[in-house]
Amino acid sequence: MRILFLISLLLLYPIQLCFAAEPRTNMSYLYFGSPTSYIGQMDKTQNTLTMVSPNYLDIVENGAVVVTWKLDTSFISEMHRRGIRVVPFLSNHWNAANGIAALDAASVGTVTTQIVNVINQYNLDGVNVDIEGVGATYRDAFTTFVRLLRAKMPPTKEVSVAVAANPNGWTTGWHGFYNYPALAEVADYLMIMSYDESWQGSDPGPVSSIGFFERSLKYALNQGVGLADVVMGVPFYGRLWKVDGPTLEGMTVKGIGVSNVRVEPILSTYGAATTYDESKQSPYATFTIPAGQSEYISGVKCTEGNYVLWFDNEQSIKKKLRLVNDYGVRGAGSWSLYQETAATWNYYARWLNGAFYRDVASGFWAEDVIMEMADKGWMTGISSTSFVPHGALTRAQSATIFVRALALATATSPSPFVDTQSHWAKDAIATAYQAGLLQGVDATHFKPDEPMTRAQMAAIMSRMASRLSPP
Amino acid sequence: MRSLLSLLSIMLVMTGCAQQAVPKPMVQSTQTDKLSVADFKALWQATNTENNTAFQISRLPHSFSDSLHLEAAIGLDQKIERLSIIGTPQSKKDRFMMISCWAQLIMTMTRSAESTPVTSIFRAMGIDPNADVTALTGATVILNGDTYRSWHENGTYTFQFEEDGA
Repeated sequence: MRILFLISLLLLYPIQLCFAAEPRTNMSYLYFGSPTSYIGQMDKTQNTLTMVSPNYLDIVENGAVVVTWKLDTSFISEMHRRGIRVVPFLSNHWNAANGIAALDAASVGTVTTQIVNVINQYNLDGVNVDIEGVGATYRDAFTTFVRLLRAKMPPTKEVSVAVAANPNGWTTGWHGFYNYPALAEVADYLMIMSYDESWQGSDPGPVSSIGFFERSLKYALNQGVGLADVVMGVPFYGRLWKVDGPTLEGMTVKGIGVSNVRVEPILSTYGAATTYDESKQSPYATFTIPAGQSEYISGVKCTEGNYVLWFDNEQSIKKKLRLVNDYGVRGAGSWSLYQETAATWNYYARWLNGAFYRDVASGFWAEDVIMEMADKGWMTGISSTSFVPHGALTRAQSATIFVRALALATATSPSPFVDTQSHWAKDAIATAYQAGLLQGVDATHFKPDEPMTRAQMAAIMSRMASRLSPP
Repeated sequence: MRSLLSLLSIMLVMTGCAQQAVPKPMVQSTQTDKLSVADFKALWQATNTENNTAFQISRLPHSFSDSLHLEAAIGLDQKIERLSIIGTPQSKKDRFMMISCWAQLIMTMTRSAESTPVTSIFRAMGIDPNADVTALTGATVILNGDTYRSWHENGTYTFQFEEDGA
């Protein structure tokens, strides 16, 4: 089966690309960073966001709403000039007492009026209500709060609600706080926080496996929430566990957040081994910080010992965005800006809108198998947005594809080829050579950048068939 | 949004006058370990990376610009005793830069990658949207035993952190 896929992908033809008519909601939260660099961070998104949600509104003691120091009217004006809506999130930062006080019948009228006044005063485009950590007892009070807020808010401004992902239909605790159908009826849409499947304090695991993500989406739909009322959360962060006890300073590292932007440097520094969990569609890495070294991550001094880091990379994020597109929901919301790698924005909006590779159009005969290969990570394109379906494969590319497809363990020694020592695919070539799949053109040369000929492919397929066939 | 840090208790002591000596804190709380200079620099740089700010330091003291400086009082044990950010902002941009640097100091010393303690402290100090510091009076905030102070005099703003027991 794998061989058939590989062969079919060698025979693709050029086609034209179709774009989605109406882009999906592409929003991101703005919590980290500094107002001095907000615009610079927005520049990195390549103007693909339709909405940004900064941390401008906090619920504090006694349920009062305050405007945070981060609000900058020049940023709001600049976003509007770019056609990007600015919808701040209203947060109690997990302080249950503050959240409950805001919902109290005696204060809800004042609080909601105050919010609307702030939105109008600063020419904001609505509010994203993000009250968390409050129990199911206050479920109806919360719905009333949102209903009242919507009624007072000008119709051109949005009221959206961040809700806990509920893949298992929990009705108690803070999950039970969110009455999905009732909230969807009164708000413009629900932003489902489809992350923190594993959290700070939990055992190691993905931040958002594909199963968790899809079950969270299905729960909303099964509750009667319409497709246009669902925005799915995408994490731009991972979580780190120290698996052999506390740090030298006695700190327990159990699921601390790690921004994606820090993942690759950390993995590179410590020579981490990364594995892509196919069933969860999430990567994780294991690494050791040697004695005498340390690394500050999210304020924690991580000292010598063994670590496991679950995170999201291009492959897993693309998988989630494909699901958003496949179900046809309103869009995606990411937590959060500053945490993502810059390369994220090369593909994010295209994947979200079903225009996956620039050169693979919707309806192209091989679209499905190309996407399947991309999902599996066997063929990832020559960039985040280009597959070059009619291009010829080089010998190096072929070696890389075979190594990925067969999940071969990386070779323990370099290949004998003098022309691959500094080549980007040197490890894959050594691995394929060690596995007996590929040989050089002579004893010391591989010619990695030359096209793979049909005869060479036949030889490889023969070796692969021998490898896969039972004796 | 995602699970935030456990909320820290903040004890506030507000004083009414800006044009005066540093207010004396009235509240002390739990002891926290002092940071070595090396750890401070590593933690500061990590905070810098995680927030993509432009406050890299190579040494202490450090000048970020002609109008923004970081000064340090270091004990004989090479541990941080006190840190001060001194700014003379001339514009809104300068003020945002200055209070963003203050924010980074708070995140560094609370050892938090998130900005919840910053918002709480700034609110207590009277820092308003648009980098409006006109309401900033002499203020002292004690957080987990550490002391944060701010005051201004003749256009010079000082934000100071002092380790518990320093």
